[in-house]
Amino acid sequence: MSVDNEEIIVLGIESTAHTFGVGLATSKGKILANVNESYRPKEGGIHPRESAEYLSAVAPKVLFKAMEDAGITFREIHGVAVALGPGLGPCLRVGASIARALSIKFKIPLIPVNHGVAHIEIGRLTEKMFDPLVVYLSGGNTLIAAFSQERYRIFGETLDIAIGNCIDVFAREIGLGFPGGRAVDELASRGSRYVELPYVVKGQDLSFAGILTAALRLFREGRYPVEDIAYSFVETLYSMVAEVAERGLVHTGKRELLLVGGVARSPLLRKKLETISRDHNVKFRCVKPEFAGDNGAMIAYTGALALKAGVKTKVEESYIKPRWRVDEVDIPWFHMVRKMII
Amino acid sequence: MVSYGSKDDNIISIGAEAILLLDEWFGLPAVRKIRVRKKYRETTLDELIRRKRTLIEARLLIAAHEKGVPTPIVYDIDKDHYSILMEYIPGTKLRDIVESLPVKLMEKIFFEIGYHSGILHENEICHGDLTTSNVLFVREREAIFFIDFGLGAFTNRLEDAGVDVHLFLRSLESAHTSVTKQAFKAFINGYRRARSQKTVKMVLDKVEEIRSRGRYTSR
Repeated sequence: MSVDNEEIIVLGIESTAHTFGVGLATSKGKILANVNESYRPKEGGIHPRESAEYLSAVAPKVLFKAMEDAGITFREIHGVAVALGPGLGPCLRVGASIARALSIKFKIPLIPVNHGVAHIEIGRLTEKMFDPLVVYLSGGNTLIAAFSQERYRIFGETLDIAIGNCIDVFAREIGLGFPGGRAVDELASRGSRYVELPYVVKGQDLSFAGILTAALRLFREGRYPVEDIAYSFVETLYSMVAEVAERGLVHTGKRELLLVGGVARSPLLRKKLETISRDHNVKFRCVKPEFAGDNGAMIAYTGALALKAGVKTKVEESYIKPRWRVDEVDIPWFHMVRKMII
Repeated sequence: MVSYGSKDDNIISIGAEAILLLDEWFGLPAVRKIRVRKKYRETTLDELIRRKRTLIEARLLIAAHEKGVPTPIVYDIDKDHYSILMEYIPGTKLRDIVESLPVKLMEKIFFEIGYHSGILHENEICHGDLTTSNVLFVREREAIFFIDFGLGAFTNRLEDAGVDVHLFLRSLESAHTSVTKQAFKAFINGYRRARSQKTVKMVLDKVEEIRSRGRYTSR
């Protein structure tokens, strides 16, 4: 591990699903650039290959825009970080190829970053939380985690589909387009009557597939106003998350609750988590919108922390890891962050 | 902590979804478990969940007890107040003492948990929240008791048995990292004692499948 106090600059690349992002950040938590472009399918969900083609197409533009924003040259960068997983194979390969090329060309270390860990680290930094219970919700991930014994341990997760995916598919099927989070929330705010839907909490785990099927069936039957179905749908989803978060707080005894990931943008969900935080007298924060969705800055910042802690990989060993779990990653930099946020 | 305006001296514990009060039943020490209103939940949904869980918990506790699985005896149910009055077990949560146990005793306890979990599953009872927090240990008698069946179900689906075993394994991995392997091995040995070889294999395959599902692929 590096013991010096030198501030290093790392370039980070995000390309796990539909966003190509490049960020520049320092090991002391300064975000120098954060440029992101997202693929929006004309219809349907994300097709991995189509998304990958889009990511390749926008990559050069995003990369150079980020360099311009940061106002530095490639020679000033100490390392290049890339999200090697979890994510969609074809998409991951786009970012990995570019990162490998930069590493070779400029003779700088290549740093493997877990996408989920990066969501957690950027939240800890910007919301100034040292040791929170983390609720990480997005289109592809749904998990509750907290630091214990060198890793972010998973206390609860989905047993089938991710919550964001559940919401997006519902939105798409009822004609609200993609991504659907905001539109579904907005529709739900006009509903008032609760219609029963499967509420599936198993221990600390969640299941969303049954709710999605049931909500779509209600929609097709047409017996209830779509506003009431949307209202019941989001109430059920977010209540399940709140319940599991509350269990997590009680079990872990953590004094901070941090919401990260794309679904963190939902005001309705935030309100529920605020309520349980007040009840348990813990501090609640939600990651800022610019760092909620997938972004390059979180990869760059996490990469800078990792490089400081001595984490890097050889180019020939930098395989993508589509199913790389958050709890498979050692976090030797966990305590380094303390001085930056307190 | 949360305040419910009750006399504090009766409160045994305040959990995530219920409070436990010390009570009595015809002179016997008893526990009253009351599922409390959750402000973050829509009222209709909140009442629905509390009623369902109170009833299913009581039913499963009774059914488990009938099959010889150690659980607190249910004395009374008050579904309008979402409460169950049950036997008081003077034990501690297994979660808090696992690391302090001698290896032999630790293995014996996990064997028993595995065995009784197998009995539950053989009788189409799934616990729904099988963790070391939901097993009480009474040191004097070296006895265990299963509690907190509110997320359980009467079911013979392989998936549900698989989820129980998966949840238990994960509770070991997250809370008892240093003894996970030994404890889970003892658990499975006990589980094998209660179920056929073929069934155990199917359940373990299911656990594998649950743990490898495509839930981490993504953004």
